[in-house]
Amino acid sequence: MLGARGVDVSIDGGVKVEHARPLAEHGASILVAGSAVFEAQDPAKAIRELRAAAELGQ
Amino acid sequence: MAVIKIAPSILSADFGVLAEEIARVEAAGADQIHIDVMDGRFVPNITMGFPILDAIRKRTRLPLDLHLMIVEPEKYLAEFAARGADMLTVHVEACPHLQRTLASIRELVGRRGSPVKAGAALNPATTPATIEWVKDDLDLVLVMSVNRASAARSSFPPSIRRSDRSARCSARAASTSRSTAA
Repeated sequence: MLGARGVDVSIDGGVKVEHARPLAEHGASILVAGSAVFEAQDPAKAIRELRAAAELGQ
Repeated sequence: MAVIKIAPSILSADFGVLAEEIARVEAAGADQIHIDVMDGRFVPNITMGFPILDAIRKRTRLPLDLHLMIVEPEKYLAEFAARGADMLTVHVEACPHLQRTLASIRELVGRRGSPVKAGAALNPATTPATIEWVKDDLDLVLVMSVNRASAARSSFPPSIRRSDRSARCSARAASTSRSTAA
């Protein structure tokens, strides 16, 4: 099981909210987000949405 | 199941108001700050080094996750740790002796006396099989969805498949170390 020893899988490069769920379904646990957060009107909302979508994929 | 963590990449921040940008994403609920260090050799772009790391470290208590897109990363690991890096991720393609480099990262003492976490990053053309024999020395596998030039270009379908394979390698690492330790 992924994470049994605390190994994270991180995805870096162009991660948007629509990718979060499928990436988490495939084992990603860290999402590196550049413009998806920094260029968002509301970064808190962007982070909330990324996290919620990823958690649906777990 | 690993907890989902969101890591805003500081490279997308406005460096003219860096302190405000860090405060903004910290308040927004970021779990850690991702810092892309590029040297103009391993990748074409040059981004940031020690002074920017120092500035970021002074402004946040969040874990700092350094992605070293540089050649000879082993020369700088101790310095990055001394300046407050919590995670150091080196590229598989930049390390002729990956296991030694990862093990040396974990020997570094980070903030609060805990060991620095070691990560291995895979460019899109690198097979996740390269991490199979360093699995006991890894805390993190970073899967690049794009070849870093200066701008990110998304290529998600192959990246998702790679993530799956990396996840399986990490899962094998976890179960193997558990049975070894038992």
